[in-house]
Formats: sequence, C-alpha cells, structure tokens
Amino acid sequence: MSPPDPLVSLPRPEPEFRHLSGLCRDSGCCLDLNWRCELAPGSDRAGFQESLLADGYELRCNHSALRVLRHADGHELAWVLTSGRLQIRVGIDVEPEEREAAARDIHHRLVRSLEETAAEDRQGFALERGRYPRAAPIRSQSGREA
Amino acid sequence: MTNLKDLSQDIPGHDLKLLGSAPYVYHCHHFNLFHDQTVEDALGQEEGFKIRSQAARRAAWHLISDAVRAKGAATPVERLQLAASIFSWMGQGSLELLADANGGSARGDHLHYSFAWREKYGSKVRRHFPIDAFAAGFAAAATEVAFDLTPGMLSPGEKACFACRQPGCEFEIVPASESDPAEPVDSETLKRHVRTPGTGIEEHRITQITQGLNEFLLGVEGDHRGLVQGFGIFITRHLSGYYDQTAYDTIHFIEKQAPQATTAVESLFGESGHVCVFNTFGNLLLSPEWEGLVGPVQGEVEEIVTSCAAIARSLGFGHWTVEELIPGERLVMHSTSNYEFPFYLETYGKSEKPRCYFFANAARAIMQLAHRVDWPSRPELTEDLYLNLFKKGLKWDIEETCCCSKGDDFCEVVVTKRK
Repeated sequence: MSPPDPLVSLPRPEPEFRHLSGLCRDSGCCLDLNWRCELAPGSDRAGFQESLLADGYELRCNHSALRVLRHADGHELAWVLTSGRLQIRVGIDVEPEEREAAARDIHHRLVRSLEETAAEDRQGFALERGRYPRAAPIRSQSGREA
Repeated sequence: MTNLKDLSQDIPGHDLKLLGSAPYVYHCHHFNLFHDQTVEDALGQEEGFKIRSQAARRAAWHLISDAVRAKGAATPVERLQLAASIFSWMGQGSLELLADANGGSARGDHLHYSFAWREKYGSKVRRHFPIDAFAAGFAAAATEVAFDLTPGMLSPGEKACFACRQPGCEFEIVPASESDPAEPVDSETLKRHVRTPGTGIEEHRITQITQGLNEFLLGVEGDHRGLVQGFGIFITRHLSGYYDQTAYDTIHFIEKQAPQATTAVESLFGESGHVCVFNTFGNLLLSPEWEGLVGPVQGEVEEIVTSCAAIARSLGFGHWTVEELIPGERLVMHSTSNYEFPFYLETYGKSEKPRCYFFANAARAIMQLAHRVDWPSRPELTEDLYLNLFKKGLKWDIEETCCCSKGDDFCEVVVTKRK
C-alpha cells in the first residue's frame, strides 16, 4: 500500500495559556464556525463545568466521555473529557467575517473563567477545602493519567 | 414545541429510521443543496421547483397525517402547530402557517435551504429564484392535513426568499387544478422490500459504533430557530421519499426527453454521495463527539472504511456491510437495505439497471477519504480540499454489480483502483 497523500493540515494551536491552549481553526461544515483549543492536563474539570453552567451554558450532552454545552447567545462548546479537546462552535447567525473575532472572544472568556476557577480553587483549598467536587482522574487513550 | 421523540423509531436490523411510519435520514446542507441543484440543473428552475415542492408535499402529507393520528391533534390549529413542530424537529427552520381550508400563506425563518444557500454561496453568487421548495410543499401538506383536504388540493409557491436577499421567506398556498393522491412509501413498504441483513468484515466494531452514535443522535435537539446541530454539522432529519422522488422523477424525465444527457444527470446524483461522505462523514470523524464516543481517528484504511459503514447505518442510510477490503486496491460493499431501492421498486417497479446512485458513489468516496486524507493532521474539510480530492484526483472506479431494484438479493458496489 502506498503511503497516504496528505493534502492539507492545520498548524498547532498557539500561543499557550496556562489552563487553555491557544485557538486554531477546526474542521466544520461552515466557514470559520468551529475552533479548537485544549484544556491543560490537570485542570479542574468539575469546577470548569460548574463555572460554565453559571456563565449561562446549558448542558446538552452529558456523556461519560463528552460534554456538549450551548450558550444562550447561540454558540456551543463540545468538550472531550478524555483528551481535553474543546471545540468552540460560533453561532451560525454570526456573519462569516466576524466569526474569528467571536471565537476569540469566547476563548478569552473561557481562559478567564479557568483562571478564576483555579484561583477560587486555591483559595477554597486553603479556606473551605472541598468546595468544588474533584473530578475522578481521567485516563487518556494511551492510558496516561490526564 | 411538541415532543416527537416517541414517534422516532428504527426498523430493527435494517438501520432505517422512521418518524411515525415515514422513513427519514440525516443529511447536511451540502448534500441538500447539491441534490436540489442537480434537479434544477436538469429541469430548469421553475420545473425543478414544481417537482421538488410536489415531492415534499407528498412525503410530508403522509408524515403529518401519521403524526396527527398518533398525537391525537384534533383541531386545525393543533394540527398546524404539530406540523410546525415537526418541521423544526427536522432541522428545517421555523415555519408559521397562516391558512384555512382555501389555502392562505406561510412565513419561514432560518429555513434550511435558503439559510444554508446564503451561508455557502451568498458571498459569491446572486440568486434570483426562490429555493425553499421543500418548505413550500410541507406548508401545503400541513394545510391539507389540518383541514382534512384531499392530498394535492393545494398548490404552494414561494413569493419571497431569503436566498434571494429578501428579509424572510413567504409562501402562498392556493387551490390546485387537480388533486394528487399518492400511496405512501412507509415502514410497511420498506419492510416488504428490504432483504435479510448480512454481516461483513468487522461487524462487531461497526455494530458497536452504530449503537453509540444512535444513542447520541437520539439526544440531539434543535434550537429555537429550528436548526439542528450534531457533531458540529448542521443536519436535517429529512424525508427520504423527498430525495428519492425528486431524483428518480428527474432521471426518468431525462431518460425520456433527452436520453443523451442521462449519464451526466446520473453522475450528478451520484456525486451527491461524494458531497455527503466528504462533508458529513468526514466532519463527523473529525468531531469532538466522535473522539469522545469512539476515540481519535488514527487514519488506517480499515478503520476509516468500517467507521464510515457505521456512520451510514446511524444516519439511517441502511444496512451497509464491508464484504472485502484490500487497502490501496479494492472495496466491496453490500447493502440489504437502503433508502433508494425500496422507493424505486414500490413506485416504478423493477428496473433494468442499478438505481442506488447514492450508495454506489458513497462507497467510492469512502475509499477516497480512507486513502487520500491525512487524518492525524486534523485537516480542515474545505471546498478546496473537496475539489482536490474529487475533481482532480479521483482514483477509484465503481461498478454496481447487483442491485435490489433489478431484483437481486442485495446491492453490491465494487470499488477498484483506477489503472
């Protein structure tokens, strides 16, 4: 069998943030609608989910390996718990030329939310230990603990 | 919004989906636009709209009648509301029906076809002819059912269309010159025509993935606009009778009126299989949902081919099996049920030639995806990549060696490397 004939590939996300990677385009059925970033290993997943729900997201899928959340403003997040992959799905009503900016805005809000969750977690750990229930360790496909 | 989940069911073992007794499949806007464009290209815009709205009216009439019975919707208002709920459940957008027994009007918002057309082509092409033939036919059918009219007593037209850069979509529904009764192609019809399901390579894997995808899809719901997003793709739960009637009526018309163009039109309906596999199957494989439910795609040929068979089953395309696979050389797929041949047999009788254009060309597209896409690099499935893969670099020939529409016991497509 001849080797695959790659045609297009995407650059890896950059720049990196502490809890969430930078943003890059992800494949999707419409122009610039889907964007990808990765949650850092060891992030407080339960706390993150709680903060998303507090920020107006509604849980649409609560699979053991996956969360899909929809925001009241029309955008969605699809989050793979095993790998930390997070797909931002900009609302279809956003004009194509404004979608990248919309995705970056959502991304910034997620970064801020993660930072706040981490800060509260550190504070809570010191002051009222166990405020956020800890997620059970999740193993990646390779068996490594994330 | 009426809960329709209890009306949604499968025909066990055949991987066909039903709402009530009406067969439906999942298709994305790329496929839908391509399919309808093919009808328009072959018949012209006006005749194409007529054929499409008629097919929509026929298929929707049976669906809505069935749902009205099942839900006990007694009054015209209840029936029209139920019809609007079904329309949104299908991912077709929002439809407001303002009609009485003599017809009336309807208004559409975020209609799948016009909204998707603007999204895909709006910045490049200016459209002057309305596109929402499905919504038009659906509105006429809903009004007929609501007021207990004979099927086909009303005729729909689209007066304003979002795809033509008008602010919204508006329909008029007027009395027709003659009725158009048609027997439904429903669950009983399908059961009569489908063959005994077979098993192929990696059956266990395919079955398991199909089951997981089916469970996930059951939970996918539309939004307030009547749009349905699953796997990051805008999808419709669409009546397969609509696709079948529009495709076969168009091909038959061309076979009679312009036989020299038959091959070209058949090729275009076949190409819709490429469009679907590339956009829907491909994006589904790259989606977070797939990664969560199945695992990240590694890119092995066997993995892609068997995954695609599972995707086809979960989308309601029928029981597709992988009979033989030699990477780089050959694929043989069978189908003992799909959404093409039962409709053909029931509506037109036995065919002299194979008629599963979608199934055959989807198999070719699966081989193309399996061999020419670098999956681990997470490619963006863009229009340019589609053109590269399917217009400039198609390396596979197909032959539909058996077809149930000819009376065979299964449909078989053989995909071989082009010499």
